[in-house]
Amino acid sequence: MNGTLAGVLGTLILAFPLAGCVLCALLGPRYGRRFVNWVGPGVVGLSFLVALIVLAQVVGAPEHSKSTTVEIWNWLFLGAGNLHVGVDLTLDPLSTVMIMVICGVGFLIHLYSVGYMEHDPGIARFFSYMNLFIFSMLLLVLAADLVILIIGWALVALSSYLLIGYWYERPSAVLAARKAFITQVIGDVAMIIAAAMLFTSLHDAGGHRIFTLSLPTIFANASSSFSHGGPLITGICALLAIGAFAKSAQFPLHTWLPDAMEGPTPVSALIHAATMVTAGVYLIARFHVLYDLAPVAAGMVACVGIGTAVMAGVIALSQVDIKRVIAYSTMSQIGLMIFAVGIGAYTAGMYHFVTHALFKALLFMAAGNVIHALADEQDIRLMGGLSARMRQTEVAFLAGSFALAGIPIFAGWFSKEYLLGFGAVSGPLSPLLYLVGIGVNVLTGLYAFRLWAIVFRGEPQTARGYAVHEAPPVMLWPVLALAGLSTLTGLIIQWPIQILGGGAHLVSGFLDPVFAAGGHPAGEPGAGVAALALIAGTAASLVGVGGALRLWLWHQPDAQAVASRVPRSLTLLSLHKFYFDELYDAVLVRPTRAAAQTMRRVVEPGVMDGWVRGLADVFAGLSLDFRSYQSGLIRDYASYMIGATAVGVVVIVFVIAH
Amino acid sequence: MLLATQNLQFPPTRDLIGLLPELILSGAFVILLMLDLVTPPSRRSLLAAVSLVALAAAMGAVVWGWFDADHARTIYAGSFAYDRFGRFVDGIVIASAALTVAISPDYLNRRGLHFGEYYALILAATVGMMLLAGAASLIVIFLGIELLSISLYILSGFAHTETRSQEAALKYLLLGGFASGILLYGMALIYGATGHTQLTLIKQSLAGSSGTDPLFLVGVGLLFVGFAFKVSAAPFHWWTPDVYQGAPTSVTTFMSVATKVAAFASLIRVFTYTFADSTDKWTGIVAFVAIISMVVGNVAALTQTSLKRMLAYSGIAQAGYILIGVAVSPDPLGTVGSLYYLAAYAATNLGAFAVITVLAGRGEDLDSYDGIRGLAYRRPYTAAAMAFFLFSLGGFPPTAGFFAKFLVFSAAIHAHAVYLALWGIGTSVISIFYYLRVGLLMYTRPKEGEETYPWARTSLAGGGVLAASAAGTLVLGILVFLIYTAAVSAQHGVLPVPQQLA
Amino acid sequence: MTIGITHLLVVSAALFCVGVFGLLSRRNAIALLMSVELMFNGVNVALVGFARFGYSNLRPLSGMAFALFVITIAAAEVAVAVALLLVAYRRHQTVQADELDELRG
Repeated sequence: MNGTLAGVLGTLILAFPLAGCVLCALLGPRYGRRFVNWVGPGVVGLSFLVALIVLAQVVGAPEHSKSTTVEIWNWLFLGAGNLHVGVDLTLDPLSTVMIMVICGVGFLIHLYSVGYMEHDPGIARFFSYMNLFIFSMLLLVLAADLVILIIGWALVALSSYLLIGYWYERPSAVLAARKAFITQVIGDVAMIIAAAMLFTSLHDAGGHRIFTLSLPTIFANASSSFSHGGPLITGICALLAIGAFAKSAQFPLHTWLPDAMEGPTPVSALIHAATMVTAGVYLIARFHVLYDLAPVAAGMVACVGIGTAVMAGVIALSQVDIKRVIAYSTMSQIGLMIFAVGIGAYTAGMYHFVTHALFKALLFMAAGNVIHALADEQDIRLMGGLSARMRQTEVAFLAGSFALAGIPIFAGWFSKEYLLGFGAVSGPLSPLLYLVGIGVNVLTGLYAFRLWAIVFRGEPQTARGYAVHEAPPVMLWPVLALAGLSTLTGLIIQWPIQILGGGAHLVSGFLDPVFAAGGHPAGEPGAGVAALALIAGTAASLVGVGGALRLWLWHQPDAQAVASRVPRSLTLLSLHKFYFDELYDAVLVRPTRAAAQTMRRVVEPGVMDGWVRGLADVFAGLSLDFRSYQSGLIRDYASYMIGATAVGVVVIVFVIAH
Repeated sequence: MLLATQNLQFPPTRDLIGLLPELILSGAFVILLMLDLVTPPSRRSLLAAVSLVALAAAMGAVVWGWFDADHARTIYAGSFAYDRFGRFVDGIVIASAALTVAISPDYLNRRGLHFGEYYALILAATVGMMLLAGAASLIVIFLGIELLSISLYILSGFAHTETRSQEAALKYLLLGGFASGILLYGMALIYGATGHTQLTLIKQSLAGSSGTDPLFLVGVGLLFVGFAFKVSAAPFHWWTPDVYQGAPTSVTTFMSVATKVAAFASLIRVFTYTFADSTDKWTGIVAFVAIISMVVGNVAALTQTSLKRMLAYSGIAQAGYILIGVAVSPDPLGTVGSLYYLAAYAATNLGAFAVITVLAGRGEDLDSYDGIRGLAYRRPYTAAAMAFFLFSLGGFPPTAGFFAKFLVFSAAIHAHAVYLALWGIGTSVISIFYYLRVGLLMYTRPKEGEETYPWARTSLAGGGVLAASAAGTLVLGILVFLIYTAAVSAQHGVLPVPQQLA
Repeated sequence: MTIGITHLLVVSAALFCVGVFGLLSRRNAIALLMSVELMFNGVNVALVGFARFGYSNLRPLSGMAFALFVITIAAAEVAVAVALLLVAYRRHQTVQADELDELRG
């Protein structure tokens, strides 16, 4: 793609949501709901159109020039040998996949919000935040300079904070927003330290320092700056991983995601399913050159990913809030993606990201329909029997669940089994982690269909359950569109036969060149192993689904009976989310609070106030002294001036001139 | 022999074009004085409009000159520099003048001071500043300084019924005359030591000498005193708080910004670029004055209770920061830093004073801290703008003040004068106390039934000026490259001898 | 004894110092104004002196032109100063510089 065109397209993609944010914020209150209902989703739709053009351009570009980096604006250039920061954008297959998902799924979610938020008085504020989020996310994925990337990274955290705490009159929402933001800041700090380490250690092949944070330059000079597996690069990658974990809600920075369900459901769909939480996956994929140099850090990423996948899957089994179940399922699926990028299967991770964005946004929005229909009820124990009255929503929900569980021909099946196939041959402790992944498949099937069975099947548990109505079209159509996509995406872009044959494959064909440059991506599993892995994974998924249907649909045996046979500690762990909130409360929050209180009682008044006040007194006294010379008399002023001049002349004549 | 043939002719066209902005404004000055005779008192806003048109035309000429002056040259037999450095400063000065004129009619009407000479005098002062910014001869420097000073003496005393205004004018005049005397004596000694008044020739004649001629060095010292007075650097700052406080606020707005910018431009041209070969002799003194200014300005501002005095002391401190860029001569980064700082200071300080101007009511000028208490609850936008300007003065990102400080401090570090950066950072910390104190006062909710100052309604022009200043402050804080590039370009071609950025 | 640059410089410095001394010691604003004028005249003597007796490479006309400018501008300054003093006198009935101390601190 030529640079000018890339610059125009990149600028447009970013400009639309930003303009939408400003317009909604400034003019929204004046022009009212109709205005923002058009502007809010409209700008994202426009960005999506531009993203389509980008896709066409990138697909159509010749093999060697798929990646284009353009400088939109030379933001900071402080002389030779100093920091240079440009607003540089990269349009390559990786960022194209990201912007397609962000704008495409984002657009559907915006449309859905029109219906979901129709009774909310703060709609202008809502769309302003949503557009800001889309802008931040696009900035993050398009950035070709680490400084810009970090700005996007932090703006994403900010807009998610605003959106989670959107209903600011609810204390729980405010607390959840705060928790999310604090966790994000931990990640931001890690990122910034990593950036500083990169900046100070970058050398070219000749050993000369390079003063830049431009990503292409960093990647091009990574191998000359760092030794393979050295402590410095391992540290940088570990810090970047911490940033990724905070965004992607991975152990041990995962506790914010379930709480973030306090935000409106479209927010959960946008941020906590489709886009923001996958930023960590994107980050590691984008920095694959560095991770290829740091196998220890990459292995750690893989272990954390698969571990989080298992843990979240277990927790999801016992949760009773419909959105929290989906949130834990998100955490689990993102764990799989993180696992994939950790073992070097970047393409597989990104592929699963795409399908996951579709079916998870679908699940959230279908759940939103349910919540909306039941007047903001989120407890699944009070639902049940909705299938009769919400047929279309149920069908969509089922499509999402099939995709999530990895049932053949649904989108999730292709991507998840493909991803796990890599685990069978690559990564640390291979194929042990693969076996854990198979276990995750079982868990996924269990919790996905538990949710469906409890929510839609059986008898309504409350009177309201008999009176529900199907969602209005503006909420239904985006859901059905996503249902179609969740069902067909895999089929369209990848015929089953190709995965068995290990042949060329649209997604990997598109993305692999990005990861081939300078890196060593994981080896493809051979056809035999792939087929075996596929069969084993699919079988595990089906076992999970079958188990769920037996336990929760047909009640044989009864779910309670099973729970009593499982070790009690496991059910408790699941119910209490592995006690992480309690642990952090005891280890971090309380000690910090206690320390703060001690500070406030003892250190603050005695020590801090003492010297601050003392210093302030000294300066205030000095200030009054100075002012006493400002007598208001011309004579005094003239004599001070002539005195200073005389001293200066004496110094010049007797010191300087000699 | 010297001037016989050349100077008897009419100045060549290219020389005239070099002075085009100044000529436009001088013409407008005359026109305004005559228009004033036929304009009825109620229609004097018309005069402001005429001034704005003239300033816009001059700005156009300056912008054109910026591109035309790509290859710097001197005009009028070496007495005026036609270079980008001068155009850069002219741009700031004209913008300041235009913004001041825009807020003036409302303010003057409320204060009962709306007379036509006001605009003519503002334009005269502007011409003086532009002459000063471009002056390449000691004589023109003196002319520029006096033209701007005499206009400002009258403007300071423009509130002819107020004792404070009269006092300010007399103090400014007598101390200003005193400083001019010292400045002139320095010029005379430099003339005696080098034999020339044109900067280019002075620089040439210095090239051959050892630079230790006491006559010359004393001249340099006295010249610096004169400049230090104009830029209000301590210990030659005494007039500043008194005059800023006593003068009508719109005049203070203009004077605090434009005078400093123009005087600094000339200071940099003379010291950093003309006396470039003897930097080791005088940078120590400049650094010392810079430190004293930072300390005195910031510390004395701590306990003020008058907004105008606080901003005056803050201006003294800012002069200290800008002087860092001169004290690291001949490092070109210092000049770039100073130029950037001047632009940032102009946008920010003009905004802060403009807030006080547009809020001033019919009676007393808005001046005491009490007058701004609770502003945020009645005038949220104005208070937000003021808070933004205070943040910028305090040097917080993402404002102009942050990058201005960043650039001068990094220039100091680059020139191995780390101690200057440390003094700067230390005193900036002190400054935050008094800036935030005013900020907090605005956001202190007035008690039930408590009287607040009767703030004037912000007119369209006033709001526009505040918005423009805020936009400038923000742009300088975010789109750094824009002005940075211009400053580098201005530094590249600065006369008397262009020096390349390493 | 021939008159040389040294003598003129001494006279110039003396005039200048008298001006400075006057500024520091007098209280009447008109006297202060006169002191400033004395300082200017000291400078003029130096300028003209340099022009007449200065070094060989010196441009004499520059100094003389400079002195003329100084005289002109000093006159302009005096005009403004006297006007300001008149206004002040009408309000205060005095021109004592020491009474101008409302602005301070």
